[in-house]
Amino acid sequence: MITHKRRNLLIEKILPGILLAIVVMWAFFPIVNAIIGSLKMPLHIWDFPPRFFGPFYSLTNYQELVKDWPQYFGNLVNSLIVTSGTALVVILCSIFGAYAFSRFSHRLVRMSTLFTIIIRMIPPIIVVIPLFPIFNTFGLVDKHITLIMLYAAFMVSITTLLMKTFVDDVPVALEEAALIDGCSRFQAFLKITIPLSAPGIVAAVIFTAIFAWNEYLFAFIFTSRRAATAPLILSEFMGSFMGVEWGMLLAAAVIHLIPMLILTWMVQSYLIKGMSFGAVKQ
Amino acid sequence: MMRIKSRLNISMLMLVPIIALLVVVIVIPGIWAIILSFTQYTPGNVPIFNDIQNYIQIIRDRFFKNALANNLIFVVVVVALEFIIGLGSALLLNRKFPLQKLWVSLLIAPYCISEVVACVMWRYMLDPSYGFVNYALSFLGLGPIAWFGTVTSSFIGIIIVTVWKNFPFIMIIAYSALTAMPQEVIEASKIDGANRIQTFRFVVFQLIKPALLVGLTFRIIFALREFGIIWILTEGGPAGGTEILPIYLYRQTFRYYEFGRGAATTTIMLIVTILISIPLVRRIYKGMYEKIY
Repeated sequence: MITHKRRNLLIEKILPGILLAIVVMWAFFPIVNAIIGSLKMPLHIWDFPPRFFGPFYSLTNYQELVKDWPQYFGNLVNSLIVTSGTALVVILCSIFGAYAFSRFSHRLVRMSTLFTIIIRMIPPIIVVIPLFPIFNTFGLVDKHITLIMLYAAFMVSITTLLMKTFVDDVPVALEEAALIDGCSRFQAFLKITIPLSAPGIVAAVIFTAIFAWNEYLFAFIFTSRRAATAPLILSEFMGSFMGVEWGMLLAAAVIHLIPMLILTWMVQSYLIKGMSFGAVKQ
Repeated sequence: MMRIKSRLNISMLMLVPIIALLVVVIVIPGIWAIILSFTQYTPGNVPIFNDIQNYIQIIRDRFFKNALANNLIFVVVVVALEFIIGLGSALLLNRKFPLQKLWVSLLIAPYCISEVVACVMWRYMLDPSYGFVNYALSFLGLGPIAWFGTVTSSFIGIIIVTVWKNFPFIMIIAYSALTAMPQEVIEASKIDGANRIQTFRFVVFQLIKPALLVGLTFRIIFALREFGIIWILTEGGPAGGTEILPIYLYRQTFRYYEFGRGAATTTIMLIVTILISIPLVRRIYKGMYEKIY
């Protein structure tokens, strides 16, 4: 009897705990390891065997980053500009689009929905080939606005579809009540629908932010200096022939990833909803 | 009649921004890319129509065949591993631990960081001489592995990073599906005398299967077009050993300036993607209007 109970305890509590520890290690150890590495004195970054405890912690790498590589903060600002710009364009387009998808069921609207879903599947690399020569001719290479429009176009389909599910949850009766009270349709949309679908806007912004802040392909092809985003510069720094200064590189990478870590913590439920969109009905 | 017309006008007006953005940035360049795939084209010159020469050339190109084969292996291995790890973690999370929110956060983190940052972190872990992974392997009596020195180790390297970065996607889909599943069904199957494995196989798995299929389809089409991780870690090398179609396409286009051939490659990728995603598109479209996801 007692051994049976023990076995149950083992299977029900201890084993899952161990498995969880393993999975969490797999997912999060590389991040912890990079953070720890960035906080070590440069000489100790490549200690072998690797050590995690000792008197070698300092902010040297971050100080050197500020001193020797201040341009990187300009690249972070570029990332911020591009991310905010993209979020703005995406929200403006998808708020109206989501409302139309949700409230009208005309054949043309339905066709637009289908079109938007299909667009979501298209590989971004397809537009690179025709756009590269055109952007070069019209001087659109290495401009923030170029990245913003590209990112917005490739995000707006998913955010609109996602936001539609939030607008669906806003009762039509509330809008009709506003109409009876003398609001125009547009006022009802502005004063009732938008505030009530705010969670959808949040979810869309989060998704756009994760994409735009992290994106590499378009940044790699369409920017080089003035509008270069942080991921592009990180990749160039890692691949530079001069030998990599890992302390600074790790510090720069950690600075780039911290906002995303905070995001995953703060807005977890939205993130889950967005990630499982189309697969699971919420 | 007037009313219907005006409502249509409003809805169309509201759709103008999104449709305009999609058409200008994606549809027109996409069609232009398909047209270019039938031409010989180097920027600065006028595209010259050359029939299906580009397609014939790339199909005969052994580097294309190599990239295609690599791409196939890459997609199959990566998606299979993501499926196993993702579903496993979801089943585990579904047991609900103390501090659940924290564990979910830590497990989603790889999905939310840049692929470039992921590459930096894994390059640090996978250093052949001083990396943590080789150190850990030495306890198992393995290695040291010359990461990114050989074709096999490079391929394994890019697979590890891709799987690490994307398994949370499958995990979250499975986890949401498990959370949304009615608990009574499981109770019922237990009462009917099903053991744990039977309950999973015949009840739980069947219920979450549609969601998992969506997740898998998405991951297949996204793994097919993976560029960043491979370009940053190996640039397709050594000796083309990790070159997949997007890398081949990049080389053709921006190294050899064969924009026509690049366009043909991208057209092939587009067709494959669309064929794979037909069921997915239908399902999402239905879900949009009939509320059955």
